[in-house]
Amino acid sequence: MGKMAHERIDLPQGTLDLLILKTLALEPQHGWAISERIQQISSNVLQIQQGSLYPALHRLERRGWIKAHWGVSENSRRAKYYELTKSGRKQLETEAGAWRKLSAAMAQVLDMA
Amino acid sequence: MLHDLLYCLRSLVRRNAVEDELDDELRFHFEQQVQKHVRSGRTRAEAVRQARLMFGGIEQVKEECRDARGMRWLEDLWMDLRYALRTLRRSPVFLAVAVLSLALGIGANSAIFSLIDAVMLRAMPVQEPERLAQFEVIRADSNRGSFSYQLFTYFREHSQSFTDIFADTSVQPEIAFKGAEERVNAELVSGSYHSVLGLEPAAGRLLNPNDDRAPGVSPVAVISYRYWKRRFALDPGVIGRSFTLNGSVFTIIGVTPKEFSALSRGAILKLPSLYRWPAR
Repeated sequence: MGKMAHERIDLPQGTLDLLILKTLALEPQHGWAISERIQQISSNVLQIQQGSLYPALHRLERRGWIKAHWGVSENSRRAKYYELTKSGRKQLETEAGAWRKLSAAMAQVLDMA
Repeated sequence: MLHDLLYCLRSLVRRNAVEDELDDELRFHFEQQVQKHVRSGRTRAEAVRQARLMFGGIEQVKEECRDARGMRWLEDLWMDLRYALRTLRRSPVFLAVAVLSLALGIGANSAIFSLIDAVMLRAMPVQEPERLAQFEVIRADSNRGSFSYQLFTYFREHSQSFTDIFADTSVQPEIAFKGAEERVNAELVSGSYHSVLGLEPAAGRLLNPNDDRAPGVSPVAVISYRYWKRRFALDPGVIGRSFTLNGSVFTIIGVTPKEFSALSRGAILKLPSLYRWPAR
């Protein structure tokens, strides 16, 4: 799902959802911008493929955590913008919390001497 | 859950719009990818090729999006239905024959079932219909005969198996309310009719055995609820109104309950059978 140079890091499905929700927490964006932003912020570690990004976006839209509207992009093209809904914001908090707990626990176990 | 359902419904009902949107969305992403490659120095052709590679199969992406939308089987069903309709439209004769056969079959079945339902399956709207029994006279030539009144009274007085017996027969007299004549369906019944059937009047009172005892003296009649509604618009003043029948004056004394009109279909009038019917 993500790609680093010639290596592939496989993100579990829920993780991509979390990344999308977080990215949209800042401002509404279209799919391209989301994938670019994630790549940028993760210092190119996480490169999201279209093949996973758009199904994820549609899934999130169906769950009601994001909603879409059509707008005009920076280069004057018609693009579909997504934004976080109220329930989406709640979901983001829940999942981010769970993730932090999980990674802290993982770190503890992995750092065992 | 509601949101989910609405979303799926939208994707089903406005399928073309949703598909177009998906196409536009993916196309936009593709273009942005191309632009990015062009900006980093590649030619347009090269950029397109690169973008295509990274994009993966676009149809596959669309499929995954469709799956993500859910209701996949419903979409497929819908598509199949439309295909079937298109095909049928091309052979109208076949379609006509199929529709006609179905219509005949369904229509015939419904008609017969309604009839049987009304006649046989619906319980009679009387008290304890399972305890009712019907007597008939069968003559030597296997035709139905009629009971004489004496025979009826004999049965009534001497029967030990039945709590009570009543007699009824149907007639179609012409009655006149203050001169306006109309032909009605009526039943001549014995006084025990209403008590045997266990009915409560909708208005006034119903016949009782006393009405049998005085032949010819101010005879009474009971009308059905339907008749009361249709002819008198549920006017409570109908009790006590009189009409003439064959020269005699009858008084309406009550109305049968709403669910019950008569044993014979459509009869709207009950007259005590002691009334002497002029020989025809």
